[in-house]
Amino acid sequence: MTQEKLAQACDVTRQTIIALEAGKYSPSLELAFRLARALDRDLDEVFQYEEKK
Amino acid sequence: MHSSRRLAWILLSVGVIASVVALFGPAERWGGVDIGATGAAVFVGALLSGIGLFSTQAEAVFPEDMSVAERRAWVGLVFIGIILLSFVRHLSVLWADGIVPVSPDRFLDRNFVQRLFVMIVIWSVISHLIGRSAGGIEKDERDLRLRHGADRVGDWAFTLIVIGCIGVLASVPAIFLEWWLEPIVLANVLIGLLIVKSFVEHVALTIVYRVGRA
Repeated sequence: MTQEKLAQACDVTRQTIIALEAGKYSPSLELAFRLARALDRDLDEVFQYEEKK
Repeated sequence: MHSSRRLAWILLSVGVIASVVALFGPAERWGGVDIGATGAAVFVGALLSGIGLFSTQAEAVFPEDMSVAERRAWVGLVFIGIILLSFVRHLSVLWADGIVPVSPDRFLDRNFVQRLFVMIVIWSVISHLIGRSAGGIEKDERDLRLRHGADRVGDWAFTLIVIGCIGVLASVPAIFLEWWLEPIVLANVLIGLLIVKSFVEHVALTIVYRVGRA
């Protein structure tokens, strides 16, 4: 799936998808669920939480 | 670089230089030419050309990886920067007669109000053209979050300036205080506060967008 298609599926801009992939943006819970659904994956397959030290 | 982007940079450079010349250029004529009026005419020409460019080739003007909200932020920075310059020019009447307070009527400057109105209208038009050309999402949660952060920076600047103004009012001699509290002077102070706040917000917003794309 292209960034553009994923962005359209999740109602965000392509630049947000780029920022997400680069780790420069943390999505809201709603967006995280929409992304997981668009990718047909479970939430924790798409996102992992890392404790900040 | 795409030719539309190159043209946009040229128009921007010409427009900014022309606006500075129009606002701060010499009052007297040089070689029979009214420098200020010439600068103003060139500035208007650059603005109208900019509208023409954005109405036909807005997508080609900006890099592909720039969102609509970021494009609007950069355009907004240019316009609010010129509005701020215009306000500084408007304020120059303050020191025209040295430290003696000028008559508050000198602040009833229709030219400044007209310039402000024209700039805001053209800014709105170009902003609309940017959104229309891109199609799709104009602003998403990330844009709103970045905007919110920039607004907080603007709020801090606004607060600091208000505190500064209070400090000035508390320290000026009574003879000047009456002048400062004239309605037209207060109106100008408030307009200046809003302009500076908006400028700081746009600077903060464009910085976070730029850093995010780096």
